[in-house]
Amino acid sequence: MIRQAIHEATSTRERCWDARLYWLRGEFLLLGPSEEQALAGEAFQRALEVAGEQGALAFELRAAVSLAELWQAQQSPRVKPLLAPILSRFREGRESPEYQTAQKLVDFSI
Amino acid sequence: MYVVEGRLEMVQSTYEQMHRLFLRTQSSAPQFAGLMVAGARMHMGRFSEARAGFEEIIASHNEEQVRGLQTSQGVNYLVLGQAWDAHSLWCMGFPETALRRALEAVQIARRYAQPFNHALAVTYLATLQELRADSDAFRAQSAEALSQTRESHAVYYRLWARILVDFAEAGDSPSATHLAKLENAIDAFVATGRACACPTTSPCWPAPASRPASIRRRWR
Repeated sequence: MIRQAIHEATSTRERCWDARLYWLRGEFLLLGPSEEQALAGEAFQRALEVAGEQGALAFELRAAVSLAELWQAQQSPRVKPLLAPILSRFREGRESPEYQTAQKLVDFSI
Repeated sequence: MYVVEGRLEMVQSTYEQMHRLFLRTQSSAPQFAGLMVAGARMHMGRFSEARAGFEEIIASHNEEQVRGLQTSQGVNYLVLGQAWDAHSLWCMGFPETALRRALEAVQIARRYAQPFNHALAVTYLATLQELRADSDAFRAQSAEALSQTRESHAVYYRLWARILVDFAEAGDSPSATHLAKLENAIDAFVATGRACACPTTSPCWPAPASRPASIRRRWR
């Protein structure tokens, strides 16, 4: 269904949900077998790229949090460099659950 | 109609025709004439451009003109402009300003006392609450949207609000029955001619983390 939605969004040029669709794709891939899980990071990266291109900071944060959680589980040092610049661009909404989660990931990153 | 159908290129070309007609008959095109183009840009993910358009239309609105157009055509461009602006604002990382805008849209719709536009505004507000991940507000606003859209016989928004209510229920209790209800609600909405990747269906796909694996597979 997500593949179909991405295909339809491409054909109609209704791209406003693309970042969310790629993020959802990543979340679902994480639930699958290990070879699919390995693709989740790519889906989150794609969501990040699309959100960045569209100036959709909220979707950028959502994708970055999922990617950061993946990297944190791998004990990667990339968590803070990924999230900190995104968090610094928020001028409001710092009490939101997603912002708080991201902040905690930064605070506890290696 | 082209926005609803996802034929966004057609919105631009129709606007160009309309703009030429305005120039021929009235020497200039009013700001509100650009609402659907700004809406199409939002749907295309061009949030910044869309927001600039909405802000111009909102700032330059004329009460008498809003009321006149609402009476003759049904749609209140100020309400729709505020609701779409709220959506763009949330995407761009302004969740509080977005919520204020969406609440203003509801207030304006009440002030102009036209049930269809009120139904539209409360449905957009409920959708925004889901994006904001405020589950209590989302549940309450969805129920209000469904009630309001039923009362006003706004079929398109009633089917949309039905998705929101069923999504909230499936979120609270992710059983196969609730997910089947949600799936049926999405099918009914898509049957109106709305494209699949629309703002109402894609945000309402269940977040996978809280779903049993056997059910999650249905959504892949």
